[in-house]
Amino acid sequence: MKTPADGISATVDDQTISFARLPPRRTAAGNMGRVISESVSRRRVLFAVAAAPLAVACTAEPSPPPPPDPLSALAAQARADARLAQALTTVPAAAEIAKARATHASLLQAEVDRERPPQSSTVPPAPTAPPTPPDPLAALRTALDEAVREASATVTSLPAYRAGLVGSVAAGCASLREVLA
Amino acid sequence: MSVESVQTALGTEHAALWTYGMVSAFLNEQAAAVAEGSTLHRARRDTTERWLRDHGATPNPPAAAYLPPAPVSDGPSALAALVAVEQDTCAAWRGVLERTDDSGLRTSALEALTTAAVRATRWRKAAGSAPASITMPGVASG
Repeated sequence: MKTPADGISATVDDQTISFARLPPRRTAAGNMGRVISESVSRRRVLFAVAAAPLAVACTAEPSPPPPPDPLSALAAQARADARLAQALTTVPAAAEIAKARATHASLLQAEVDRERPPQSSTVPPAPTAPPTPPDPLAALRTALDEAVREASATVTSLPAYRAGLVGSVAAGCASLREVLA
Repeated sequence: MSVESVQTALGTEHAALWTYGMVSAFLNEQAAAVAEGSTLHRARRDTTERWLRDHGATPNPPAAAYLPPAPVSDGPSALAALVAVEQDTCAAWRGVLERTDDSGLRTSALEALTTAAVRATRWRKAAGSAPASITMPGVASG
């Protein structure tokens, strides 16, 4: 009964969990049936041995911290833009931009916090006032172009329920950019 | 689900195209921008109809006429109608974004949402509205 082919089929069978639950194959001779049932139990043992490291691997997988929420970076960018616009009082539309980007920041942050409720200690670090750039208008344009690009690039990789929010942020930044055009 | 939302978006594209045609008589100074908006909405309508056919749906036909939120009788009311129809378009394409995982459709919905928001801003600027920008295009309160 024990042929080299049997050994091979046992190894193959061990890779599929569902197969291990199939009843032993029916045989013509009764005495052979006993041998086969023994061989099945050996397979189960082999399966258990083979699956044990797998199970460890599966449970060990989620232990590293999850990747940072992509919306978190967008929220930080929106906060930075709002601070920049606040500092650039010489640009006529700066107040409008500061207000809109602050709204974007709070909407994005609310979604980040909804998905992963923050620990009380994780407050965004206190912002340092950005230095006034030599050309405030150009600096704001660059920041908004960057914001449109980042938000647009993020939209494609998000689950659908978040795509609308980030899509509106991208379009809102494009709208702000048009105000400066 | 995404087919339904694309049909809704197609409906707003039909309405936008109709509105651009209707207001052109009142906006001689912005004739070039009106023509550009028309062209872009026509192109968007065509690609949207094609997408629906490719997905086994029959594109909804345009209505014979549309009712702007306020009567159009002069330049300012014409600009208001354009702003309104572009904002409707934003809302419809945002709706598509929220209902599809198809990356091609999502890219084109985002582009439609963004360009409509930019045109709405342009018309609000022309009308002297403050603020001219729309903070969250496609959101009723935005």
